[in-house]
Amino acid sequence: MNGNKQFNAQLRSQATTPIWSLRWLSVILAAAPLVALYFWIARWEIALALGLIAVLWPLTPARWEWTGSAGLVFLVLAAAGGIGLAAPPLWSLVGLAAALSGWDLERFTRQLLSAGQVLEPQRHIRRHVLRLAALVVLGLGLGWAALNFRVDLEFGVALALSVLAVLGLAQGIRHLMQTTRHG
Amino acid sequence: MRPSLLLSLLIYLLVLGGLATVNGALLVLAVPLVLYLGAGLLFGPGDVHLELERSIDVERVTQGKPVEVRLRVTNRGGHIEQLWLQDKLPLGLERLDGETSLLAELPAGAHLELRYRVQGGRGFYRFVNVQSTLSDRLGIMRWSQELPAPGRIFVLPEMTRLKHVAIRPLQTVGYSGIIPARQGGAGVEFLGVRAYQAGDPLRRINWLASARHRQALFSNEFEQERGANVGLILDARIRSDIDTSQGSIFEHAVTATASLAQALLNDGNRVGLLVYGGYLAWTYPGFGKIQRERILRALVRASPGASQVFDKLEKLPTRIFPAHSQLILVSTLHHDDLPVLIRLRARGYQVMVVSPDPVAFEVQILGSRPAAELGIRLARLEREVLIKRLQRAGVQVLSWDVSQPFDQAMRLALSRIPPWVRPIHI
Repeated sequence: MNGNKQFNAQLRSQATTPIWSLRWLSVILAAAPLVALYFWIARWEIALALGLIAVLWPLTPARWEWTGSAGLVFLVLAAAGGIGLAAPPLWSLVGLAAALSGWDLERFTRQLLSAGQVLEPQRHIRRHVLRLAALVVLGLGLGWAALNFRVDLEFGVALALSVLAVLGLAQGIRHLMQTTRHG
Repeated sequence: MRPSLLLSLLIYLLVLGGLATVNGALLVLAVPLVLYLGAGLLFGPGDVHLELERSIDVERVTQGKPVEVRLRVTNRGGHIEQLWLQDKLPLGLERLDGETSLLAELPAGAHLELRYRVQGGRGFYRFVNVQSTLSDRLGIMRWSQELPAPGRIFVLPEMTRLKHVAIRPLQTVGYSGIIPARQGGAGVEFLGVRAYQAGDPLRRINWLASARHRQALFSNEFEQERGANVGLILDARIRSDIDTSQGSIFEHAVTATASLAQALLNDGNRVGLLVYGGYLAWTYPGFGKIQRERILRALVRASPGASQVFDKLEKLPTRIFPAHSQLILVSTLHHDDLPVLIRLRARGYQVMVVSPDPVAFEVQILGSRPAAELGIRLARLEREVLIKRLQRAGVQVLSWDVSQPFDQAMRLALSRIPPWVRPIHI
């Protein structure tokens, strides 16, 4: 119990908490592949803007909750833009996965800081980070596999699969919205 | 924006962009996002059934005493990966230690306890709901609800123990007390001498008077001591209050009322309370400890209020007080109160005014400033004139400088009945 109190107190001092270091690392990791990608294709202004986001994102005041979401949207668009500019898609995939983890860790940090007391905080953080790492690794693995295995499809089949994907996604999201409710 | 909505929009954007540009790599970018969203769907809270129980170590405390609040939550449903519990403190309560919110994992059948200590000023504090948010470990699937966990704390006003409040109403009630009833009977105060009646104890015979008359015996008669009907009126009009950063004079008025109620009930009187302010709060007269509790609870809820109807004392509902009873008004006093109080006296009520001194209170806060000297002198003179006029009308007045303890002020001013208040037999 005493250890818990000590950790909770530590959690409030942002500089000494490992979760904040993780967040910095994640944001830098999120932006680094994309910055490198845009340097590679000689789009200096975008690379510079991404670098600036990477620096400013963790420095924004804690009460600006929208900054995390805005950062994620910007980095996802940057990753998609890289693919549009014929850059190596694997770099974009890595950048997106890292942006996702940066966004997640930022939300998690905010949650930890807003809670007055966190029960077994080390275990709580470890489990969160482990699940996030597993999902990111799985996502990268599947993405890498998808980029390397080529399946040729007829136009009709591709269209049917696309419609199926969109409908399935819509159904899934509707279910998600219904279950994420406020009582 | 909810995280699930944001992720869904990004996935849509990437999928539709990939399909529109026939670029498989864009579709691939959606894979980590879909997995992340899917994990939320898979591990989100399923069967939710939480039970909350609040326990408060003491519901009824005096000012400045801390109260420990415990909140026990039991999970009767499925496993909850992340539970964020936030208790809402009633306005006016201050947390001393412990935490009011908790983030934890809660397996099925397990329970958690949130514990903290609070402190507050005089008042009635009601706990209603607790905000609970359940989610998966990544916080994608969230379920927020307010769970009822009622609780209440009464912070009683400060009270000073008064030895005796000397009152002398025109009528007493049929129960024993300490007010001389001007009727012969069992008592300790000598009332007079009357002819001996069969059954009078020998020690009551007045031998001196009997020796002066042949063939006649005389007995001493003692005065009965009874309780009285007392109506306490607390002036809760907003204009009677002076609220500063260093306190409110109304709080002193409440302290005085509570102390008077306690002393009068201890003396065996039948006491009622009327809080006259934004509205009328009437506590029906009664005796004893239960009545004391009723009055204290009414005082806990009392607060200064504004009302166009009750802005002046004219609307004081005098009919609720028994005829010829003792009325005690606790008020800072205004000039327009004078005719109402004189009218009450004329109707046969014995009126006493306990008046926390607003001039002394403000001077104490403002300090002595040369610029304010004249204003202070004028205000003091006005108040003195008002008090003198009230006293001339037969109203007992205690002008109480609140920097002085109330019991001390009472002892000096109201522990004896002044000669001019002694009632006339009717």
